Amino acid sequence: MQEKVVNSEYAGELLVCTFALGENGVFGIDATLVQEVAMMGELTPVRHAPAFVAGIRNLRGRIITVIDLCERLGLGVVRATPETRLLIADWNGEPVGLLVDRVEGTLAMEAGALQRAPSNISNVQSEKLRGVFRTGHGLAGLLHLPSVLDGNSGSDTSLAE
Amino acid sequence: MAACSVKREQEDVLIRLDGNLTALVVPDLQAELKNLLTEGIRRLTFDLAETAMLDSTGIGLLIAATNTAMRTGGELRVINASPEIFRLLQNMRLTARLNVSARVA
Amino acid sequence: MDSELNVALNDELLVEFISESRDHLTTIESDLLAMEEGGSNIDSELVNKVFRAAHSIKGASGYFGLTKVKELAHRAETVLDMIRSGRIPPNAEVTNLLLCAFDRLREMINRPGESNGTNIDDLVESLTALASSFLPGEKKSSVWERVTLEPQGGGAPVMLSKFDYERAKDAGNRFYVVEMDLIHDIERRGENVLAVFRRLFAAGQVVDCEVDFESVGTLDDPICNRVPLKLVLATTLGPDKIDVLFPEMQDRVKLLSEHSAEAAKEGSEKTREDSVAEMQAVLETPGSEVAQAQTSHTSIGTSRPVKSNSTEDSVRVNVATLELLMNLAGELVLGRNQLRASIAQKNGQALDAADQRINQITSELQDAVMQTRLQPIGNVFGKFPRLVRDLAASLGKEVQLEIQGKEVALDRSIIESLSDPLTHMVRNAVDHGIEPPEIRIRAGKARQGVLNLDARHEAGHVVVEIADDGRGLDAERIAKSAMSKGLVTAEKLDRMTAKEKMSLIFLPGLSTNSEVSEISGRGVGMDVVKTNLDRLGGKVEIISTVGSGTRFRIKLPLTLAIIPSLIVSVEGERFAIPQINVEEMCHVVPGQGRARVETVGNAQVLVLRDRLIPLVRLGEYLSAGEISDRRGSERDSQREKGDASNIVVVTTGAQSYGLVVSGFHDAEEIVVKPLGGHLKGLEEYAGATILGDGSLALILDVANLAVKASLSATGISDTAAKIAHEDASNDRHTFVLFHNPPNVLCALPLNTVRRIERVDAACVEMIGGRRTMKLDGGLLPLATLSDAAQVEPIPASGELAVILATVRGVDIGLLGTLPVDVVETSGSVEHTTHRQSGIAGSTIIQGRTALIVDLYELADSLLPERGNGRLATERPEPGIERQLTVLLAEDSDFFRSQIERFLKEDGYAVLAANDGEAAWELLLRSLDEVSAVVTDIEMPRLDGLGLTRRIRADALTAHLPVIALTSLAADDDAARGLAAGISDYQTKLDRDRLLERLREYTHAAAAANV
Repeated sequence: MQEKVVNSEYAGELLVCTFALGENGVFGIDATLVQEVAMMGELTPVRHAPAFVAGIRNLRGRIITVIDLCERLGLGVVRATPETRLLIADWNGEPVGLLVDRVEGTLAMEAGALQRAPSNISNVQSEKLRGVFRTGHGLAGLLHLPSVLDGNSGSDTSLAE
Repeated sequence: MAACSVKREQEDVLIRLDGNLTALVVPDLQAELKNLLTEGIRRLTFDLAETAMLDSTGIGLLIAATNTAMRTGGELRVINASPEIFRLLQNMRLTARLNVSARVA
Repeated sequence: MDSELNVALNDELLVEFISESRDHLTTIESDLLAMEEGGSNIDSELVNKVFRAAHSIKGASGYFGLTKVKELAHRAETVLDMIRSGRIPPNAEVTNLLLCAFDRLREMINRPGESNGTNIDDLVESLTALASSFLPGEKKSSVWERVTLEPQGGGAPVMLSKFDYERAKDAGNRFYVVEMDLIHDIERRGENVLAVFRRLFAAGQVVDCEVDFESVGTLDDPICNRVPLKLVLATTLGPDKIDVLFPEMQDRVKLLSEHSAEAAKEGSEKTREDSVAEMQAVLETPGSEVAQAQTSHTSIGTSRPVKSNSTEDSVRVNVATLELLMNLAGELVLGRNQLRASIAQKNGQALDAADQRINQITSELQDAVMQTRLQPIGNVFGKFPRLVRDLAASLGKEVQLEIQGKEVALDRSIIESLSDPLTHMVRNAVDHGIEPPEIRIRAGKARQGVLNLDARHEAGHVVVEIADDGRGLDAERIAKSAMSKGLVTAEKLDRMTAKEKMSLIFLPGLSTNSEVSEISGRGVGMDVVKTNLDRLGGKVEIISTVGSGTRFRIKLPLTLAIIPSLIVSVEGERFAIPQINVEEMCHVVPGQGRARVETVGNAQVLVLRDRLIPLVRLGEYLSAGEISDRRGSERDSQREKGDASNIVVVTTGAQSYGLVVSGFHDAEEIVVKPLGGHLKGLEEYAGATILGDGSLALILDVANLAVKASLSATGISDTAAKIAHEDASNDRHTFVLFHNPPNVLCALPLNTVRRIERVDAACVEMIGGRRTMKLDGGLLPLATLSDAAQVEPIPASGELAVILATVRGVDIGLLGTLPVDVVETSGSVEHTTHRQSGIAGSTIIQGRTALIVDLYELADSLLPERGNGRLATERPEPGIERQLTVLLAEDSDFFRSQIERFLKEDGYAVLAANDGEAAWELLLRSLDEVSAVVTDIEMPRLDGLGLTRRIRADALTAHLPVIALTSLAADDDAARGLAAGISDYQTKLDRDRLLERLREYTHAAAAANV
């Protein structure tokens, strides 16, 4: 029996931007944090940066850091395919690019629909994964973006399946 | 060439006009003065001993020469002005600025 | 009336006038100060400039009825004219007065509506007094006591000497002001000026006349287009008759009367001037701002605090930038059209192209717009000369202000935020920092204190420094004060360094100056400064010594700045190096040129001219730590060892090193953009930039890169790494140092050394009684100093150094013990004290005696079959009986004796001299004998090139072959040498090569003579 997560943070309805990270499944983040979806474009590597930094990119004259979300969550790396996309999100006033394998779409999620992640997915105590919810195609993990982006402590392996 | 004689002593030049300072001679004089002043002449002296008449263009020339002299670091003087010319220039409050002195006796 | 007032004040022309006047006035301050500084050396251009400013303000303000502005400008103009003609010297008093006058003018122009109510009497009085004191006597009385008359029908008021006016009025005269032009109104009408004025003299009296000199132009202008003037005529002729004197000029002849109100009533039209007059009346009602302004009346002569400029809501933009913006806007339109078209056609490819184009243009547009925001910091610095001067004067101190870095450009917002903190700190320096002259003298300092403002870019930051040579900060006193105010506890203080204690001044509420200085205010200053700087993300560092002075170093992050930089690439990725860090670029071609890469220990070093510069391979550094490359890095470094061909010598100011890159690109002006939060910890990058093609390049922080690449641990001693450029008159020798037991320091000239390896003693094998070891797939014969000289043998265990050299075409390894070092010395080489076989001499290096190894002798003792005997080809040819004599010019005893020795060994007779002059004299005495000349380049009195030129110039000697030896190996030296006539250019102590070439030359000559 899956517990319902009563999470006051997500009261009411939440618009979620969902995306795939490799074969690791579908995840979602609060769509209001996503400013735009861009092509991966040309990434310039930054040597000696943390592993989850895929590089920097020129976004209309601004230089933004591109974060490999797979790497950041300890799920491998995002591969460059025609479907790879950048979710441009705001982080402490700075635009940051989130590299994902495929963008699935934006859907509305009822706060009540959020459930605690099953223990076989992860031993999550981390702030990053707030729960799971059903989409038309299966389960998706809801990520708490600020927690995903804060801290430079390297990849979080606690989400590895 | 203007009807005048130019006597040069290092950085001092003395120009003595042969006649009146009027529109007839002004254009030539202008060219001559310009050359002299840009050659680094320190003091340019106009000798009006032989000059009886001065017209508007003549006055204009003297003023223009003074303006140029200011810029090149030189100085303009007018000497031996006839009584009438001196009075005119005095009334026009130009004697100080053009360094005008009258004929003596 | 209000609406008329509005009309007057909203008039476009008026706005333009104000803007123009403001422009004039911005530079006046610094111009006046420059004039003062110039003293009796009048810079006529400068004075003219200021004069013209006053003149144009005077002229135009009259038109707008700004009477006070006009009058004040007029007075200033008079004084300036007298300065121009050398009658008044621009001394401190005069300058002060003019500064005040222009300050007031500025105030009035900023508030034109109130200007006519401004009281300018004080300034007028002072300016008039000044002018009159320099005027010849008879004019004095006339400049006092003025009366103002208004022209009927409008126009600028006229001021006359009261004396003249009263006198003429009493005689029944009227006054008219006439504006005319000699050329237009007289000449072109066929009249004669003398005649005209004769009529005027008949009719009355010319009371005043003002010819507009400026409008006449100079001799460069087309002659005599205009000579405008304004004259005031006193005549008994009434207004109805005055036309007689001035036919067809009615509108320019105006009757003058004393009271403006009357004139207004009499006139039929209401003019602008009248509205102004009415406005004036309104403004003079008590309780108005202006009335209050009139009561505050500072006296001239004492300086007042300068009010800072109000923030403008307009910006000056460089024309080039504007054009760029316009072009980009045009490009953007094209891009948009392209975009629309591709959308309409649903053409994916075209869409991509359009996207790329718009992306590109937008970036450029953004950069161009940002450029409009950049201002030079000089805009802030600009007000300090005046500030310091006035403040110092009022405090009785003498302060010299020096400013560097005015052109450093920063974003407007940063400039604005810096203004207050910097002002405060400058005030502090003058107020509290710099001592009064008597105290300074007693302290043994110069009377005048120095305040230095410096702005510069330092990779990643803009640094602004304010330094004074005053009394410095007393850390203890500050600490005590802070403690007594309860701002810090005693325990905390105990743990503080002096610097930390000094930083306590940034705490609010701290002021060590018990008097409340009116000028700097209470101790509320420095904490506000710190807050302002914090907001900008800047830091302040205090460096101070009690008695010597204080330096505040402000570091601001480079968030919005454009810096020139060099673009380099490493394996396809591009990086930017700020130009200020780039010392030199070199391309190393093995075997050629002045630069080569050597291996010393286990590190590589660039030998550039005579410097040893440690190298950092950028590619290696960048890939270090990457897992995928870990296995490959060693392999790569092996591969790359031969590839060090493109090197940028960079400097952090304190240290230089060479950065090995794959290629150089252009120098570009780049906009520095900060890296995101996730990358902030990477100190080796100072930011990133977008290059012209839209791609990104990281900006290297050269100083941090040095630290991170662990430059200090390359195995080269610090002394070697800091080698300065040589002094051309001393021979400087670079030696490889190693040791021989028990503790003997040995040296070998660097240019004989090919390589240095470290090996374990176990590698040394004895084969046939000789020491050898395996190296590079072959057997290397080894020598030790103990083979030839009386020293202890090399130990059989432990780590040893093997120094590879080539002697007579054969590789030899010299064994020694560690440590191994490379040093340069200009010390003299002594060659008698330690002379024994194997040792060529000795020299003092770093306070120790070092024995210089004679490799040739060592090799000889080692390989006797290859010993002193020459190879067959080296034997003198039969038939040449006479012994050949070589003239040797060499100032170094050591080298001279060495070269002499092997020349003699090879069968030559040697005539030796120790400088060019002596050599020449010797040559002249022995013309018949000398067959060849071997000369050093760097010698006193006459150097090698000079000697060669002489030889070539003299018919008796011109045929002689000249071989030059040098310790330098620079390309341009060779070129110069060849140009001077040198036959062959060699580096020192390559004995084989020298002998070979000598043989060639003397052979050829001998053959020719036979």
